[in-house]
Amino acid sequence: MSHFYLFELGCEELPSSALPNMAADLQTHVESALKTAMLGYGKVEVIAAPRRLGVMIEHVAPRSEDKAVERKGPAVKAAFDANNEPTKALLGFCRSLGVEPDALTVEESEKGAWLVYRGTDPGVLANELIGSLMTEAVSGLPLAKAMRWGSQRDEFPRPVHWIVSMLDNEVVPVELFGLSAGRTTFGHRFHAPDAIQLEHATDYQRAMQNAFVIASLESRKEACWKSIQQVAADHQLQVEPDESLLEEIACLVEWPVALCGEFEDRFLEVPDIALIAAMRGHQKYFHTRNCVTGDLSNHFITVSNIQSQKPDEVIRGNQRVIRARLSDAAFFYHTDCQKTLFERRAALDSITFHPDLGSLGDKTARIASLLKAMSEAMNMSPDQAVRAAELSRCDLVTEMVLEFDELQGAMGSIYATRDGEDVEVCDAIGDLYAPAGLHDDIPQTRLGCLLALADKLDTLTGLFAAKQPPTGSKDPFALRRAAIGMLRINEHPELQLDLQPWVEQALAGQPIQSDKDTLDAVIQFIQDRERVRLTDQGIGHDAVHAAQASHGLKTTRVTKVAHTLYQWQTNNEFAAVVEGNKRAANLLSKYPDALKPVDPTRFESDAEEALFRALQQASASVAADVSRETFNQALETIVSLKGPIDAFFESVMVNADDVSLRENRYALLHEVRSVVMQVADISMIQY
Amino acid sequence: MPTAGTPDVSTFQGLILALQQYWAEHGCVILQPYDMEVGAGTFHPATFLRAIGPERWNAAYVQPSRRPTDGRYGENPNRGQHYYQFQVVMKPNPENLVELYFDSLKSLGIDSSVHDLRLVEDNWESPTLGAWGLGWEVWLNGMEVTQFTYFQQAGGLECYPVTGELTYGLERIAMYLQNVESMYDLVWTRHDDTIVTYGDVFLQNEQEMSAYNFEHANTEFLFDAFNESERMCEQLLTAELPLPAYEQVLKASHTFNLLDARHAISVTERQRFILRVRNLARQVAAAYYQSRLNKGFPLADPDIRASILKEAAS
Repeated sequence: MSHFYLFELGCEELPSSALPNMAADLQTHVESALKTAMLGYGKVEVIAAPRRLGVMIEHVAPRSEDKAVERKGPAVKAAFDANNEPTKALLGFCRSLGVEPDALTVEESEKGAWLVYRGTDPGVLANELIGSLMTEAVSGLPLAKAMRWGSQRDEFPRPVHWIVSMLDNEVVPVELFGLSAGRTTFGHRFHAPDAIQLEHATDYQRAMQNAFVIASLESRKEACWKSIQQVAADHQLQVEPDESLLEEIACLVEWPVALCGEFEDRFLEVPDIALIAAMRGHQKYFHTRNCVTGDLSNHFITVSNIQSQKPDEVIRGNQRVIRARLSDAAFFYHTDCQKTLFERRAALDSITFHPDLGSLGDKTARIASLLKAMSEAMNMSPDQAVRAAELSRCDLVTEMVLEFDELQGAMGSIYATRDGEDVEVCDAIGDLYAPAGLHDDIPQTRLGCLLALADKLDTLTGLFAAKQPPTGSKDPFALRRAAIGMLRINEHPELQLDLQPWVEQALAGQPIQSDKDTLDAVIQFIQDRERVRLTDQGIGHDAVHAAQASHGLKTTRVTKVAHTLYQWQTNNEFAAVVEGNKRAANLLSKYPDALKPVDPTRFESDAEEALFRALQQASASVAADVSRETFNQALETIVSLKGPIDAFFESVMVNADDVSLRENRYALLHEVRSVVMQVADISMIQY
Repeated sequence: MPTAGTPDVSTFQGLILALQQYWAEHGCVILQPYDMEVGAGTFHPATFLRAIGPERWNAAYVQPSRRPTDGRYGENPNRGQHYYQFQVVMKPNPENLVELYFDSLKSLGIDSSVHDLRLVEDNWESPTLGAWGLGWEVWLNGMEVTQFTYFQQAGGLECYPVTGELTYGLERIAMYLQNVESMYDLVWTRHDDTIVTYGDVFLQNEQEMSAYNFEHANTEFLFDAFNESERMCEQLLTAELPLPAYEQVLKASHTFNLLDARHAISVTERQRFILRVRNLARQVAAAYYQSRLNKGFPLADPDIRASILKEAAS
């Protein structure tokens, strides 16, 4: 006979942002506690709704499994006195286990004879065990934002009011937050305000359903979405799935009822993104589209928490709110449209970007100058580039972006289009902040890429010049994200630049003079980010270092080479060439003098001759492969040097007594390194 | 018709009277607004300072609040640079504070079987006061009508016991009850055939004050005033006068808000100004705590007082 267990913490409305994680954590904690205690169970279902968090556990075993125990007691010498009577030590040991001395066995070990207890810890009844497991699971929950309430010291995300803990029809004691568990729960705050007494743990779901609560988050999400789609269909509207909005809504209601409201047509003149931001961000509404045209419609869908006696009142209320929100948005839009975007450029001069790095206007000017040079180097229109840069931050002083900061960039693009700016310029402005997150898209156009790249270069080099690089977890200017964004943007097929000259130029353009150390620190910072990115893809640190040593800030090349090295790392012949390179690098590092070119007339052995010839052939072919970026072929050529390199080390004494012989042999080793270094410094590969 | 003694919640002043009556019946000291420019009811010493330390405190009051950047020249039906908050603070928060709150709405005629009432996560933080708390914004059919906060920290000091704070947005609730679309159409009071609207009382003020806040406020003077408030505050702290020192924090805070409305402060400078106010607020909080400690926390529960005094002595 197995049991059904119910645990519920009754709370004031839990924060919607934390609820999904709390539910998942509780499930993990409960299951791990059950496993550790060896108490068998079937399915664990989580209860997660605004006013409740808990679990229902099916098929709980009647008792936990028996555990074999072994306890080492006193040494035989210490266990019995001269009269062979048990000593205090032995009696104490036995008492602690609740056994008689004759239950122990003697075991011989190298250190002598010892008394040992071997027995079985009988399992514990589920109702004696499960309460402490729940206490442990709840107390161990990681809480992002916890609070205290009243005059007590316990912490939880919101005040806790009741606890239900029942195994079948029996209350299992649990004490938490100054409360004792019972069988009393509560349903929907308004639909079913009275206390509910549960006869049996399995009554819970039915009781909740009757009390207007869908206790499972997943079921509630489904019910929400179904209700939303039904309402949309009734009004012949389309809704787009929006998983994160749906989850947030499901965490805000216990009894979802979708309703459709509308706003005046006139607001549709405001750009869609602003309308959607107002509906979604502020009001958590789903926006809707016309079924036929796909255009944004003047209807919205809200999900209420009650089956209202007068749903029209709820709709009317929501319409009033959104009208106010949209009036604001329209006010911002009209105010903004009274000036062109470019007319706002001057306002940037009075907004500080950074005390040491000047205003946003100064930053804009630096980006324009950098972008001009980049566009010229890439045979693009410098005028377009400068225009894009000059306009790119002007939307920051528009009312719309001051209200909805997430619309920065996109709003600028819309206003620029309205002003009749060049299409490519408008597109690029919208891309200034891309990619916003790790998984967001990089700009599509080349100009957009360059603008976003130039901005990040300026921020990165500026903050390093101001001696404010990120430290530990502190990265207030999001420089790590900027560097990763640069690496990703540079992967655009029409870019793939060597970033080195642009880093140098961006740094030189800063109002603070900086030295070589600052430049090196910036490069190092970018390369560190690159290494993290590539190692996250499974590539070793050594392969990335090896590629970076040869290709610096040609970042797309580094990626390709690192991937190729990764493929070759398991190859034995490659490993041998790596070994030869390590030797060569090691020897060269200790050679203090400048080297002359290899002099073939000074060769004394065939091995020297053969290596030299192999290198001459390989050099040109590797160079050609590198320029074509066919790195696999380049490595094949390098691996073919294994024979000559091995033969050289086997038969030639590098440190010859004769100075000129010795010099010539070092020069030959240097040649080996030069050929290989065209692809990567493979001496850095670790085995 | 409302009978004598039952406030008529279909008027703005009746709404205020009804809330005062409800919370008076639940043990609150009914106070008057603080007579200085403040951004919210939280700035009233009856909330900010009383949230500090272990002493019991239950109070309710109306607080006219000024947020210069919210000015719309009287053209936005929902937003103004001057508006009313009804503030309730209870320390320690009663266990049933949420229920008390919803009952207060019921006393205003808001039927929870008709209207969609919701507690939507909203974690409150006042960077200038060095205060934060967790709670909700209360939605009435999607409209935020109240801010509900359990204070965790004020002036950088841990709040123990916890103060529960309710901040009702009076205009919004009144617009609901009166079913009007603009706050200026709200009936402030009616007597016989005479109706006085919110617009009659405040529209011209809103228009002129918006112009002052956005166009005319003398920023040079305001920068000086800010510096002077800061200086005075520190001087008063040295003299161990936390209450007048706190008034200087209020002055500095409002001056900062005016400068902000004039766009006179850049993004990075903004942070520095906030830090300057917070620094003052923290010092005032510490000084106020000390002043109450010196008096032996007379309003605290005996057991809590004993344990805190013992802690302070060691």
